[in-house]
This record gives sequence, structure tokens and C-alpha cells, in this order.
Amino acid sequence: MPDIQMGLVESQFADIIWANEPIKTSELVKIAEADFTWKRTTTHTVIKRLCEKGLFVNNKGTVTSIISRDEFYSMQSRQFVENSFKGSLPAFIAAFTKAGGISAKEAEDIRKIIDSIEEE
Amino acid sequence: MESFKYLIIWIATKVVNNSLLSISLILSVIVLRFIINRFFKDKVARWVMPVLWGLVGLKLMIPVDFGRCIGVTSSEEALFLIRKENNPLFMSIGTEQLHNFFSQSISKINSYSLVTMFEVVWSVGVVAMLIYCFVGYVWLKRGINEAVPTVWSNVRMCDKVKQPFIVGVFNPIVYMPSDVTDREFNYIVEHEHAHIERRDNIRKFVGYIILCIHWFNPLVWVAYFLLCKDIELACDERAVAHYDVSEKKTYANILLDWSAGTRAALAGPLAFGEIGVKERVKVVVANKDSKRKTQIVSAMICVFVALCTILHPDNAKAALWAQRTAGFFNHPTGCKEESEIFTQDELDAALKEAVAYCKDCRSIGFYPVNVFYGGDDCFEKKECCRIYGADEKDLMIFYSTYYNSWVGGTLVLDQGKYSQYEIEIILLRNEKNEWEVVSISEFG
Repeated sequence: MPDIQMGLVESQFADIIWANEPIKTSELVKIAEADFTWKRTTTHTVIKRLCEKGLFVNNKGTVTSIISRDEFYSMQSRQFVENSFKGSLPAFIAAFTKAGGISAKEAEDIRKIIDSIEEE
Repeated sequence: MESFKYLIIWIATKVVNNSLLSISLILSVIVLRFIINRFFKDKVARWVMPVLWGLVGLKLMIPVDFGRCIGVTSSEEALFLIRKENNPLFMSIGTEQLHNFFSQSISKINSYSLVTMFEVVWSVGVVAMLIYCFVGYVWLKRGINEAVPTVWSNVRMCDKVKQPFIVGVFNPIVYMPSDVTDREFNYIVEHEHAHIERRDNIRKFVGYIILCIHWFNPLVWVAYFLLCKDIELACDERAVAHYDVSEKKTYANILLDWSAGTRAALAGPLAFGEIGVKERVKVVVANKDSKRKTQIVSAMICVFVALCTILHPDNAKAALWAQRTAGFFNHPTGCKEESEIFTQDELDAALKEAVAYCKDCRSIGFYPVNVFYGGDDCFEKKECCRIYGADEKDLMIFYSTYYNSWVGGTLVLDQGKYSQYEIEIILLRNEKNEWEVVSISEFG
């Protein structure tokens, strides 16, 4: 079996299909809109992607699964999704932290600082 | 279209002047920041720095009024111009004074090609920065389509997000990566919520707009960069304010993990505004002096810098210098503004003398000769200096536009109608350094 990766959001959506299959795409759109506030185009994009990954098939507007839920989760654990923001956020966005760029030694130093603070 | 062009030029001049005037403030804040961070770290709250940068932003944006004309308003100037040029086209235009003023000035502005070039470059720069902002925003929005709600109403999770960020100025939403651990989730959400409470999304956005406008000034870039750093530090401080020591440790470890741990391997090139993790951890674990004392000291610093910003004694001098510099570009043909040759005191003293000869003249506009009144080459001023054998520093000419007539030795105004006549008053500076009226004339 090829290794299929799915992020948390995709798997939440896949769960909806598994729970309700066979299900019309129009129904999926309605559910996604209600639960996630997704636009119609977004839902269709995700359906298409999951089909391309080999999990589901879209037959004339009805979606059914090729791999069942149990089968899928027994195959692998969740992993990171490709295609994420590669860390170059626009300057005007307030972000949590900019990852990367620390050497192992620096990390060690900082770890020491953290550990050194004492209980009051 | 012509009015629009003039508007751009006017805005650009103001922007450049503001930029120049702000340089000393930005440098001072940078030095102050260094001193605070080096020597008074535990005595000063982290929220001080973003406030100081806010003052810098104000100074960069609020138009400073310098080189003011003695007299009334520019609509009066406009009327003067119309009368003086005797242009039938403008005479027939109604009382839309502002429009007339702009139109009149265009013919003058068109000859200042050097000025136009700067304005074009500046405008292109501003537009480019705004386009980058817009494109970045659209790109971001598209990527976060596939997000699902969480227990927090303003936090959503998304597979495609690698680091949490906030989108939106009026309705900020936090986007979290979907693969955070439960332990991390709450701490990170608290950090982002601290950002929202502090309105950091608005601060960064407004700061970016200011950067767009002042893009040509490298110090403004430095200021923005430091602002971003200081915002993160202030936010960390706020987020951990109520944590006990073990919670602070957890938070700091999360910060570290996200910079150096497994997540770091997945990150791309460093983005603009790299926030040093060591500094942030130090802020989080810092043991501050008594809270009350810290807040008082911090507030005092802000008030002090605010006062210095407003009451800066060099503002007037700097304004004069800035205007002279702008004047260099504005008057390639060599007519200097009287406000460049004389100080405000001298202009006031001379005007006082001039209006003494004219009943009720105080209420009308008297304008010292400048490029609008004297023409591109200040012919009248040069002529008068030649006739009276005086240096340009010892001779002043004022114009006004109201109808007048001589009654018992003083000029009396007929304020009922605008004049076809103009008053021209010439003053000379005598040996006692006083201004004497040597000539009053009317001409049509």
C-alpha cells in the first residue's frame, strides 16, 4: 500500500465522509459549510485531493471510500503535510516565532537558562 | 488629473520633511532601547518599547506645519494669484477657491522637473510596497481556506500552517498548525490571545503602512524591525504575567522547541524580522523588581519621551532646515522664500510695521514675497534691492489684495469687494535693526 499522508484537518473531513458514505458532494458541501465554514470551492478541492490520494472515489457526484477508516488508521500515523507555508510570512503578520537558525550549542545555553530559574 | 499630480507632490514633500525631522527621534529611541536592555532590564516593562515606537510613528505621520505664511489662508493666496495673472480663464471660474489654487500652481510646478522625478520614484515605491502587502494577504487567505474551528472562537486549525499567526485587523483570527501537541496548544493560544489583547495585529499593520510611506528612509526600516522584536517581547511578558515558575518553564521550553527542535528542520529561510529566541526566553524567565515600581518607571519613561518628542526645541530649526532643503528642489530658478531669508521674529516685526500704516490691515492677508508673489525669479525683490541699494536680508516686501484708499494719511480698507488693486509695502532695515516702511504703492 502506498504511504498516504493526511493532516489533521483533512482527516477530520475524511471522517465525515467515512461516517456518512455514500454521500453526495452537495451534502458534503453543506456539512463542511456548517461545521467548518468552508466555501464550496474549498470543499471540492479537498474532495478532489483525497480522491487523488486514493482514499475515496467521486462517482458522478457521489463519494464513496476505497480504503475504509480502520484500514487507513492501521496503516500509519499522522505526519506533516507538504505544501505548508515555508516560514516566509509577510512582515505585517504577527506570528508566534520564526523557527530555525539556532545552533545546537545555543539551544543548550538557552535550555540551561530555563532550567536555572528557581521555584519561588 | 492635474490636481491629482499636485496633490502627490504636496504629499511627497510633507512625507520627506517628516522623515527628515524624525531621524533624530528614531536614533534616540534606538539608543534608549539599548540602554534599557543593557542596564535596566528588570526595572522596565517590555511594553514600553512598542509605545515608544508608536511615538515615532506619530512623528512620522503627523504633518508638521512650518514656514507658515503671515496672514490668512491659502484661499486668499489663490485669489491673489488669480488677480495678479489677470487670466480671463481663471477669472471666470466661480468661487471654487481651492480648485483655482491648485490649478494656478500647476504651471509653476511643471517647471520643477527635479521635484517631479522624486515624486514619481516615491509613488512607485509606495505602490510597490502596498502591492506586496495586498498580494501577501491574498496568498495567505487562499492558503488558510482549509481550516477547522477549535474550542476557541477566534482560533482555527489548519494543516498547511507551520507556525501560528494572526490574520485580520478588525476581526483577528489565530491560525494554528494542526499538529501541535495538547500541551503546547493552550500555551500558544495564550500567546496569540495576548497579541490580540494588545492589539498587536493593528500595530504591526499600521507600522507597515507607515513603512510603505517612508520606504526611502533606512532608519524607518530599522525602527520597524525593532518594533516587531519588541512587540514579541512585550507579548511574551504579558502572556506569562500570571504564570507560576513551572508554567514559565514550560512556555520557555515550547519557545525553544519551536526554534531549535524538530520543527526547526522543517522551516524555510528566515523570514523578515527574526525574533531572537534567547532574548525571549530571558524575558519569560526574568525575575522582575516589584511590579508597582516597574510600572511607574515604565510610565515615566513613556511620558518623558513623549514630551521630548513634542517639545523638541530643534523642531522649529529642523523645520526651517527641511524647508530650505525642499526649497532647493522647489526653486531651481532662484527665488527664495522670504521665510528662508528671515526668521519668524523678523517677519513678525516687519509685518507689524507694515500694518501700522494700514487701518484694519491686520485682518487681511499680508504675504511676504515668495515664488507665488514674486514670480519664478523674484523679479520685484531683486529690482527693489537694486533700487534701494539694499541687501536681500535688509529689505522686505509684502503684498495684499484688498481694495484700499488713502484717508487722512492712512490706508483704509473697503472690505466689501475684492480688489483690482494690490498693496505693496516695502520695508528696509535701518541701523537700529528696526524695520521702516519706505514705500507703499497700489497697483492694478
